[in-house]
Amino acid sequence: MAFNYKTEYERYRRYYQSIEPVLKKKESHTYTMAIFSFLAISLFGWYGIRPTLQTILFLQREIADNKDINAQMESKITRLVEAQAAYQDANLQLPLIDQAIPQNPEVLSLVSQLKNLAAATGSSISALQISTVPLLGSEATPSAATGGKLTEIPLVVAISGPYTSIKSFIDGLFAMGRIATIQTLTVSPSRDETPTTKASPASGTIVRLVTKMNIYYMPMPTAKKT
Amino acid sequence: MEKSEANDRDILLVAVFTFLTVFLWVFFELVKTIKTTTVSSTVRQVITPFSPTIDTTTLIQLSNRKTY
Repeated sequence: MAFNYKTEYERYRRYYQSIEPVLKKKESHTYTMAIFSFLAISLFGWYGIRPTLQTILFLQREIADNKDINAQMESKITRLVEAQAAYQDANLQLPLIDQAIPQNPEVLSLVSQLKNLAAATGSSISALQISTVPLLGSEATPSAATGGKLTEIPLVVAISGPYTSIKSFIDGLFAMGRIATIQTLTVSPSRDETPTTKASPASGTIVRLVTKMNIYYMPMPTAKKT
Repeated sequence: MEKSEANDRDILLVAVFTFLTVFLWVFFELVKTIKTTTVSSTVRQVITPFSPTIDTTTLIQLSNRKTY
């Protein structure tokens, strides 16, 4: 069926004509203006004003942050120079730290020191028990690696000798270069005390000391594989 | 006529609420932009301040200790 505009116009004319009085009405005109104004402001606000203001504020924030970073970098450079000077001053004493808390367990060195200390104080080591530690090198398994973390090694030492020697031994432990912390300390009369081993009254009776202590080492942190 | 006016008022309300929503949305986005730092975590780690002094008291105490 062909399109006949005359019949179609007649058919829809009443709709076209019904808009006219509505548009001529003042209230409708005001409403339409207000509605389109709000919608236009919303649309331009979202697509125009928002990105512009966002860019401006982002750049302002970036400038402020960069100024702050610059100031902190300057401060850090100054502190690094100061730290380098302090490091140079304390350079001769730094090996003492490595001696106090070495990078490896260095258990053999510690045992040797304990033996020398016992000999120097006139007491004798009757037992020495150390937990399983790597004697040299790094940890055997990657999961056991504790780079950069203080690791403690439990140690049990039993010594016997006159009371004064035992006291000297304990004092020596506190004054030892290798740092050791005493967890428990048990002093009891020695069982194998015989008249021959009995000390003179001046030096006191033979006593047995069992001390449980911890020694420490700090492995160097290993670089992560990328 | 009454119906037409009611429709106009409804549409105006929708437009006003749309405007308010967009305004608040834009406002909070701008607040977020101001508050969010542009410094990356790597740079923040680099600029972390530290004390340049070395504890010489401890070093002196350590030097007083003995090696047997």
